[in-house]
Parts: sequence; structure tokens; C-alpha cells
Amino acid sequence: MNVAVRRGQEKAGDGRLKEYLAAHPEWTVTSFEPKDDDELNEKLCAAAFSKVVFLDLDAVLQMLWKGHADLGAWASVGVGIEICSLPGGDWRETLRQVHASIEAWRRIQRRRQIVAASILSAIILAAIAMLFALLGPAK
Amino acid sequence: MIAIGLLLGIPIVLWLVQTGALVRHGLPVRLRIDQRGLPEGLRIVNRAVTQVCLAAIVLSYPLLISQSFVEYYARLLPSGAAVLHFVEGFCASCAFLGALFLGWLLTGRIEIDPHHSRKKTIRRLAMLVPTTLFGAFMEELLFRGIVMADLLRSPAVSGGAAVLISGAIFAVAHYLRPAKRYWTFPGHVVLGILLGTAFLRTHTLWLPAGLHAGGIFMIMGTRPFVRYRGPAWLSGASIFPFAGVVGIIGLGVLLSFVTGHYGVVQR
Repeated sequence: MNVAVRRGQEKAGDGRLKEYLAAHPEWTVTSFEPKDDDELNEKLCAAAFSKVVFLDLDAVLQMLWKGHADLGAWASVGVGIEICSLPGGDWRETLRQVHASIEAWRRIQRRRQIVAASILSAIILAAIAMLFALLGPAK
Repeated sequence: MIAIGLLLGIPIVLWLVQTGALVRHGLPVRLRIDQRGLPEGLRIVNRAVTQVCLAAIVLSYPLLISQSFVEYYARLLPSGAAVLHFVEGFCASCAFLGALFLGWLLTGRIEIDPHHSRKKTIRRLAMLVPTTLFGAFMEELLFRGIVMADLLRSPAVSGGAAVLISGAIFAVAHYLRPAKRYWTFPGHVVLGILLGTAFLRTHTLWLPAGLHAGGIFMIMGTRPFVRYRGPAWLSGASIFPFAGVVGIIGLGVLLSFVTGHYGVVQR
């Protein structure tokens, strides 16, 4: 059975994944990094794998927040989903984990946006300053 | 019209090479020049043949019009103050695309999402300057330095017509091979018109090459970090941020900058 494994954001979870996969020696496993979520989604939609294993709930949710988890398409081609470490049966715990996941995602995105906006602003200002220095006002 | 004739020869050569390679590998012949599904070896051969064809045109054109290679290109890329046009064009493109990306970032049309490994990203960024310079100068030498200059040499073609025709040829050339998207074509035409106007106004390649280089630099520099959220007709996509409606309007602003700051040089 061809199985895709989506690793977690931190390498610390790799041990748990290994343990989980060791219990299924019949699987042919292909591992995907979080940065390759779009590629994983494409392959799952194309039924390149029969199953996808996530390290934890946060790993699935990250794909959802990024917009790279077409769960309907996966279901329609028969891709099964497994999660290595599921939260306990209490719905409050699940809700807490979902909230923590989206907060973490928003924090990362805010930081990336600030860095990108600062770099772009610096480029724009430097380019305009250089243009003014070379050209002066329009004729 | 020697240049257009030379340019038309490229797809014929590419198709013949592709057909020869397909037959040799026992694969079915294709009517179109199409790399999809070909073995990596054949794709490399096709890419190499394209570059050889382009280089052959750049090298042979001055000789075909009985001019020295060095003199011809020295006139198009003169030393001295004209070189500053490259810096001006580069800065204008960087400011335009920087503002466009910043606008899309603040309105959520693009998302920062590094999608390559650190090693691949560093490799891409390390190649950014050579890629920018090679792409800009190769295309400018070909489309403005040869095709448009050749059109301007003909008494039957006005400056405006030369800009339009060379702009259209520039756009068509980008779709010779099957592309992922074709709605970007009008954006390429307008870009061709901008670069052609820059050449018409200065009669050297420095300004169009600078504009072109600034564009490649910003697009390829942001590519490993950016994902478009669309809609594509508004914000463009992939390596075509200038091809959405706002991008095309931005190219129009750049065009007015070029016509406002650079006078027409006599033909």
C-alpha cells in the first residue's frame, strides 16, 4: 500500500512517526515536509497514495489553514486519513488544539507579513530615491 | 525583415530537432513543440538547441546586414552616461513590482509561504543576479536589438508600428511551447510595448534591459516565498504579476514614466 506521511512542523515528532510506521511494515511510505503541502495535496487528489498519515491534528490543520487540503477530493478518490497522535476523546481538548493551531498559524503569518512588507518597503524607497537622484522631476 | 525570417526559423529548427530525438528514442512524433512527458535528456537537448538558436541569431544578424558584430552591439550598448538608463529602468521596475507585491500582501492576494528547502532557496537566490542579467540582455538583444531595430530600418514601418509588431512577436515567442496559462498573453503584449517604447525613445538597449532586469529580479527573487491567492485576473499568478488587470495598469504607468522622461531620439 502506497502511503504518504506528512511530517510535523518540528523534527521532534519524527520519532513518534517512526514508531507508528514501524507497526505497519507492509506500507510503502513517502515522506512530505510541511513546505511541500501543495505537492502532497496534488498527489492525494490524483490518488497517488491510498492513505495519508499525519503526525498530529496540528499537521492536518496546518494544511487546512494553508488551503492545501482538499478533503472532499481526497475522499472522492478513496484516500484514507490517519493521525498518529490524536487528542483525547474530550471535545474541549480537540477544540483547544484547533484554537492553538490557528493561533500559531496566524502568528507565523503575521511575522512573515511584517518581514516581507519591511523588505518590500525598503526596496521601493531605495528604488524611488535612486530614481529621484538620477532623474529629478519629470520634464 | 531579415530578423523576423531568422526568428521564424527557430520553431522549425526546434521541431526538427525534437522530431529527430523522438524518432531516435522510438517515441511518437509530435506536431507541436512540446516538452511535456519527454525524458529529461531530450528536454535538456531541446533547451540547449533553443539557446544555440538564439545565440546564432544574435551573432549572425550584424553580419547579414553587412555590419561588424562589435560596432553593431557597441551602438546598442554604448558606454558613458547611457549606461545609467539601465539603473533607472531597473529601479523603476523594482519600485513598480515592489508596490504591486506590497499591495497584494496587505490585501491578502498573496501569502508568504516559503515552499522550497533552505538549500534550494539559497541556490535560487544565489543564481538571481546571473539569471536576471542573462534573461534581460538575451531577450533585449533579440527582440529590441535585432527584431525591432530591423523593423525600424525599413522605411515602410513607423516607430509606433515597430513597437507594436515587435511587442506582439515578443509576446508570441513566450507561448511557442505549451504554457500553463494563456490569459497572460495581453500582459506580455503590453510588456513588449513598454520595452519597445523604451528602445524607441533611447535607441539603446540600456533602458529596456534595465526595465526587464528589474522585473526578472523582483519576480524571481520573490518566487520562492510567495503564493498567489487570486483571483488571477486581478493579481496575476506565478511569474506573471504584471499580467493581471492591476499589473497591466501598472505597466501603463511605467509606460507614461518612460514617455515622460525620455525624449525621442532621431532614427
